[in-house]
Formats: sequence, structure tokens, C-alpha cells
Amino acid sequence: MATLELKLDRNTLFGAVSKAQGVVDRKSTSSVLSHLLLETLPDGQLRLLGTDYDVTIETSLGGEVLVAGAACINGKSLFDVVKNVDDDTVVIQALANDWVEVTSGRSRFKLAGIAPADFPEIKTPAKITWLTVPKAAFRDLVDKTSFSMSDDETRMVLNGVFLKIEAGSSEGLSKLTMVSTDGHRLSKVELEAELQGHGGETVTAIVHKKGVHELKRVLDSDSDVIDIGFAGNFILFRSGGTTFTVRQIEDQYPDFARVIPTMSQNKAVVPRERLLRAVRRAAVLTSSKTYIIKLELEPGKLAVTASNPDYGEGRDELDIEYDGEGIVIGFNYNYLSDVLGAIRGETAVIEINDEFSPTVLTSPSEPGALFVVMPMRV
Amino acid sequence: MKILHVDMDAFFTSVEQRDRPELRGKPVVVGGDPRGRGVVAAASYEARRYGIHSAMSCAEAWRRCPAVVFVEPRRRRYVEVSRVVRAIFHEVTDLVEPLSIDEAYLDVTENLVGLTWASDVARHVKARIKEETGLTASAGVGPNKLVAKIASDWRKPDGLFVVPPERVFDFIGALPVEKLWGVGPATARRLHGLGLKTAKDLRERPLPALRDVLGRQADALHLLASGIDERKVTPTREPKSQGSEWTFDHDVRDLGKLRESLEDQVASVVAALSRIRRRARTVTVKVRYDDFTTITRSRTLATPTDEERVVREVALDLLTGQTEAGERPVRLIGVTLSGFEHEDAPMQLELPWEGADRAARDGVAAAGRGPDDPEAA
Repeated sequence: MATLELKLDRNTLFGAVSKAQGVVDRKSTSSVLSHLLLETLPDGQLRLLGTDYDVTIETSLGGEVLVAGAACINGKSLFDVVKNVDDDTVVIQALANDWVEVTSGRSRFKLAGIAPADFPEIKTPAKITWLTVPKAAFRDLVDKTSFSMSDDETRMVLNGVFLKIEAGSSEGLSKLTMVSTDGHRLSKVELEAELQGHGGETVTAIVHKKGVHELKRVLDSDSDVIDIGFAGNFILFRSGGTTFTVRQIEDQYPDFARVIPTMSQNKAVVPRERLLRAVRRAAVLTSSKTYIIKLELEPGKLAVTASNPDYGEGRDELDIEYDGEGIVIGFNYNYLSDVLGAIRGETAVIEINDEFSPTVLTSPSEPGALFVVMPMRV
Repeated sequence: MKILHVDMDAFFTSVEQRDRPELRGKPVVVGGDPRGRGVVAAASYEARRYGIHSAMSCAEAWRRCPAVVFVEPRRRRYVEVSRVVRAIFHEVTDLVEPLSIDEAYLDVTENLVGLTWASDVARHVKARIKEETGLTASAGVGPNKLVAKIASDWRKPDGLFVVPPERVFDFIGALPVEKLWGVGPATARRLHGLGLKTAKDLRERPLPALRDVLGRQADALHLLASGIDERKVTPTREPKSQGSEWTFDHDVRDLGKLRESLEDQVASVVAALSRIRRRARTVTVKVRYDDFTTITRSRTLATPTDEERVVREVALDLLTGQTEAGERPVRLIGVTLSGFEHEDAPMQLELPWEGADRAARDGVAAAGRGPDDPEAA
């Protein structure tokens, strides 16, 4: 029989539960993977665990331990209850049948639970190499690559981001590269930073997309740095009191350098925001099946057009810096708006070889970021 | 509107009996081996007298009439003859809507042979078919598709039945509800449960009461039961799906053998897809177990494909990951592609991992060539 009695600050508990809740299975209520494990450790610390085997999240939280022990509670019910209580304090007490009682002010809930022993055993990797990375820099890597991961389950290796850490251009600097591709487009971001704990060795990992999405939550925490741990088939992310353990996709990431054009025939410098807005306007008239818009380039001018036999047609013109040949090229508008929305700066550079070859987008103010988008054959 | 529905009489067996005089006058079944587990694809009128009909197992057909002659289907031959028949339809009107290899709707309101009466057009078409192919067809004439189709079945074989507009209401009213377009066994059961046996019963029941039982379908059925059908004859039917299935001689538990069959079927289905110049977005795998429970599992791709490799990977993944193939004996396995897009439609190009940019350009050059082959559907 489980024992546990805790007195917790409502906001602290809610913060921990909302992070852990991102990992657990929200669809099923019976599965053990839909549950969170709340337990006290021998040193009197308190931790909350959630897992779906691929991603495990562990959060430590402060609170008063009245009776040590553990409880395993359905994540969604706990989340919903803690979210909605009014009082600042929450008391959690394990009941004889593995349920828990959650009391806050005059609210009292009894939530169904399962035996803590049934919660999957989390094997913490024995040897972990930790590197400490400035958080803002790492967030930039994630924000600029996460949108082009693949959802196609038959191409598992693309269902995540590729991360490489190696020696930088000068002593004391390390180079971080993050790449993602869904087979139609590719995002690559490189930056250099001082990494504590990095001796210049090259390490790589493919982080599963589920881990990437959860990572974004950790990146929102207050701390200035994030620790990245490499351990066998796992990669760990630690920030504040929260640690994510993500199973790596064990495969060879494709040789992305091959699909990045080394030269281009036609180079245009475009006002980034104006183009982004024009693309979004044109998107109104694309069909939900093809998402196609066309860019018509001629010296000094770019037109964004869309047409659909059922809805109508639209055309948006803007002045650009361009002295190449006249060209009409089709794109999935999502691919353009994702990139134009992810980069910063006044202008964006578009490099086109022809209407069937990879097109490159970059931002002069962010030299480390490069995006390749394949056109649509019109 | 003057609509003609033309239906070839016992098409496959008639072709066989025409090509092989020794089969004439005999009960003939086109289908699989009666000792195996094939089904009857078509039965001659002589065979039908013994109660043999299509979709019946060949073994059952053989039990009913041991004298029956089983003939292997010659699909290519039937397509050839069907082309001749279809060309005759097009002598009469451009508005030809094929329903299958052996039947079609013709809108003869305006016709190219200059005949005023639709019944004369029907006679003309039947005579031309007889002249060109030696085969007989039955025709139904009516003011809409529903009536024409039911009428063609009225005097089979070699029949002609005309329902003039003023007779439609009574003609339809007397029909059992099952004859109405869209009424399958389940709907029929529900209608019978309400005591509605004929179209007349159905149309006399107030609409709100019908809607309670049939939902949205009620309104459409109510119109059909009154003989009102505004569906147009649409010349080319957009292909919706392309599929294949295979019944094994013996139930199969060996996953390797199932995979092999699925791979073969994928190859032929993808070939058919390229003949109709389409790409497909959805792959569906069908498995029937030994106890006849049948399941289908499908996956929709991010971008439509016409690549055999992609379809094969998805199909095999569905088979091994989402069915009990290999654990339970399997009787039938099949694969269907759907969610079509024309191969000329805009297509998202792939990053050139292996010089694919050149392939994409070649693909553009190749598109626009190749024969347009509506028969492949």
C-alpha cells in the first residue's frame, strides 16, 4: 500500500505537472503511460516523473513532505484539478486503494491512481557527459529547425532534429549545428558559443520530434543556460529543476550537404516582412490539397500569385533587388511562410537556380541560418 | 431528358460462347477453378437456370450443375470487345457514361443519328452491337438514369423496355424499395422495419418520419421513389480508386508469403495507376482472416505518390504493423490506392538526395506524352 502526504504550493505544483503532462499519453486513461509518478527521494527531495518510453521528464519540486512515499496519478486529472483550484496550497495524500486525495482550501478530490510499483522503471543512464549551452542560442537553433521535421512514419530518421557539437573556429569556442528536413525542405542553423564541459570532441544525436516539442517548454524556464547530456542512446536536456531524457533515433542522418546548392544563377534581395504578408494573403486562395503559390520574378519586381478554380485568384507585387532572368516558380506557401517567419532582419535573400531545383533562403543578419526549399512542379 | 441504359447480356460468357462455338447452348461459368476457391465472375443464361450467379463460389456452382463448363477469364479480350461497344455508343452521342466494362448510360436527348424517338435510338444501338460484335445487349429507356437502369433489366436478355415520362410515377411506385439507387441491405432492412415494401409505400410516408430513420438520405430517397432523379450523364467518370485482391487456395499463416503476394499486387496496382495517369494519396490494405472477418487499414501520405517503392513500403508496414497477418491464418489479401490527383497537377518536388533534380526535370518532359487510356480504369 502506498503512503504519501505532501503540502505543496499550488503554482509550483502546477508548473511541474504541466511540463510532465506534455509527455504522458493524453488519449488513454487506463494506460500506465497516462500516469505521473510523484515520489519522495531518500534525501527528502520530491520529484514528478512522466514517460512514454521515448521521452521521460523528471521535475524536482520543493514542498513539505509530511509522509514519505509515492503515488501514481492520472496526469490529465491531476493537471485539470490543480489548474482549477483557488487556494494557494495543495495537499496530496495517498489513499489505501492507490487513489489519492487532493485537497485545496475547501475543495477536495479523490483521484483514481495505480500502484506506484506499476510505473515503468526509469533507467537513468550511468555515464552522462554534460555540456552547458547558453539558452538563448539553443532556443534559436530549435525555433529555426523544428518546423521542418518530418511526420512521415516511414522515414523515421527524419522524425527529429539532427544535432552536432564540435570544435569551433577558435580556442574555447564550440560549434553547434542543428538540421531538420522532411524530404521537401531543409533547415540548417550553425552557431558558435562557449560551452562549459566541451573539450572539442565531436558529438551527434538525432532528437525525436516529441522530445523537440517538449524541449521548447523547458526553454521557456527562467535559467540562462541549458545542460545537454550525451549518454549512449539517450540525450538529456536539463534546465531549472527539470530534466528530459529523450531516446535518440538510432540511424544515420542523411548527408544533408548534398542537397544544399553551392551556387545559384539568380539572387534576389526581398523585404522579408512584406513578402511574408504577401505569401499569407495569397495563401487564402490556395487549395487545401496543394498549398501552391507562384513567385514571378523579373528585374526589380516580384509578384506573388495564387489561383484556384473554386475560389478565385490574387496577385501581390513588391519591389525587390533583382537583376536575374525572368522566372516563375511554384511553392507550397507553408514552406515559405515558415522560413520567413523564423528568420529576423529587414531583408531575406532568395537564391534560385531554376524552377525544379532547390531554392535557398537566408537572412543577411543571421549568417548561420540557411533554408532550402524545393519548388512545386506547376 | 432521354436517357438510355445499355447493358450487355451475360457479357463474359457471351464473349466466350461467341469465340468458342463448342460452348454455345451449354451452361458456362467464367471464373476460378471449381476445386479451388475462386468465385463466379459471370454465368451464361444456361448456367443461370441452375441458380448459378456471379459472386457465388465456383465450388457451389459445380455442386448445382456438374455439367457446367468452367472457363478462365480472359480480361484483355473482354476489354477489346468493350471498346468496340463503346465506340458504337459514341456514334450516337458524346454523352456516354460507362458504369463498368459492360454497361453505360447514354444521354440521347440530342443524338448524332438524327432519331426523334429514344426507343428508335435504342433499337439502333442494339442492332449495331449485334452487327459489330455478334452479341446481344438489353436497353432501358426513360427520362432519367434511375428509370433507364431499372428498365434495361426488365426484359433481359436482348430486351428493350421503354418507360415514357407519363408512366414513370406508376412504374417506380410498384418497385420494391431495394431497386432504388442507394438502398443497400441495411437501408432496406430499416425500411422494411417501417413496413415500407415498395417505392409507393416510401413516398407516401411523410418526409419528417423518414428523416428520423434515414437521416440525410431520406430526402434523396423520397425523390427517387417518386421517379425524380436529376443526376446527369457525365461522360468520363473520374477514377476514384485502383485496387487488387487475392484469395489464396489455402489459408496462409506464413508472413513471407503474404508479403510476397502484397508486393506483387502493389506492382500491378501501381502500373494501373500510371496507366490512368494519376498519383495516389492513400494506401489501404485489406485482410480477410480464415473466419471471414475482414479488416482494412489505411494510411494517407503527405504527398501523393506514383512510386512503387513508396506504396510497397507503406503497404508492408500496414500489413505487418496493423494486422494480425502471420499470427492468424489469412484467406484473402488486397491493396487499394485512392485519393487520386492527376499526374499533371502541381507536385511537390523532393530534395535531390540522389540527383533527383534531374529526374524531376525528366518527369516534366515525360508528362504530356503517353496514351490517354480511359479503359485502364
